[in-house]
Amino acid sequence: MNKIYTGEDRRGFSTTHTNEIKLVVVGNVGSGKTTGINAVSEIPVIGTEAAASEREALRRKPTTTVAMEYGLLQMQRTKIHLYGTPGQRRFDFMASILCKGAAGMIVMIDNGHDAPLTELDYFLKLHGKFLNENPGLVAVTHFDDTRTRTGLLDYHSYAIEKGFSIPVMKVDARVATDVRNVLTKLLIEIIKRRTAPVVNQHG
Amino acid sequence: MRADLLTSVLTELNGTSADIEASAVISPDGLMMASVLPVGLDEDRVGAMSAAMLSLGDRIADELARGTLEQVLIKGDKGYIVMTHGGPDAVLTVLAKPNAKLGLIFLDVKRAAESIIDIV
Repeated sequence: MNKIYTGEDRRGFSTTHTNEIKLVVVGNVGSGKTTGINAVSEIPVIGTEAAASEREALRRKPTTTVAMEYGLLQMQRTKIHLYGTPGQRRFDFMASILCKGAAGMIVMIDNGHDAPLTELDYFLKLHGKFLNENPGLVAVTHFDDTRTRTGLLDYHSYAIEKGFSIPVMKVDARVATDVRNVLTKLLIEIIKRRTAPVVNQHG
Repeated sequence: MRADLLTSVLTELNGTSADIEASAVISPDGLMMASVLPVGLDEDRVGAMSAAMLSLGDRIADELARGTLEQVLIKGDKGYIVMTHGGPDAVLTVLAKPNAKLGLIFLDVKRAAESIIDIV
């Protein structure tokens, strides 16, 4: 059985050898991208934090990512290179640089945002091409925010409405097991996609 | 007031050499504090890119044991970009022509950075 999945083919996914994979985390300001990467990385995270001078960013935190974050971890015989992007719109060019060669994307949305679905829409549009070609996952954070009224189903139906069949999960970015669950789910999506039999278009 | 002082430092810097085409002072998180840029250059993009590049330079200098970052130099076939810190709270970005005398530019940029430290 295993034989189908093993081998040197880089496009396949080995269950006996160590795989290497690059994943990128995007999402709105203060959604917990930096926190999440710090929670699961097995190496000291390489980050680029600068003091935040804008009120929007200050609402939740004193510093903000300006270029990227890099963390590394191993799970399910896979070495995961985790890249975080800046959340502020003016740094969007960094996200498109970091997406090169990535196998999957986590879209993190702060559920305590005034209009979280608008934020989701922004990132689905910005990374629409990537998400059409690669697996992605919506990770919703800040569920303990009392002002929150948007539920997981709202995100799910919104994404479907926009033409994206993408899993939606609730996550506490501060908790390593939570973030690892999200990564596992995304890995499964990637493996599914890579080991799926090629469908004959004329068939 | 502070923006005016910064703009006068930049105007002076641009005036020191015909090779300097543009300059800007940016907060470490990428917001424009003052700029003397030619038309057609988007302030927000210059700001965000400078902040991202310099913060990466900081980390790389540190990770690869090159000490504290002094400057980032980018060379393209149409000119140079020099970035440096103006103290902990400002980034100075300068655009220069391809045939610029780099030594002189570095000197002028260093002087301007020192003036910016006093203002910010």
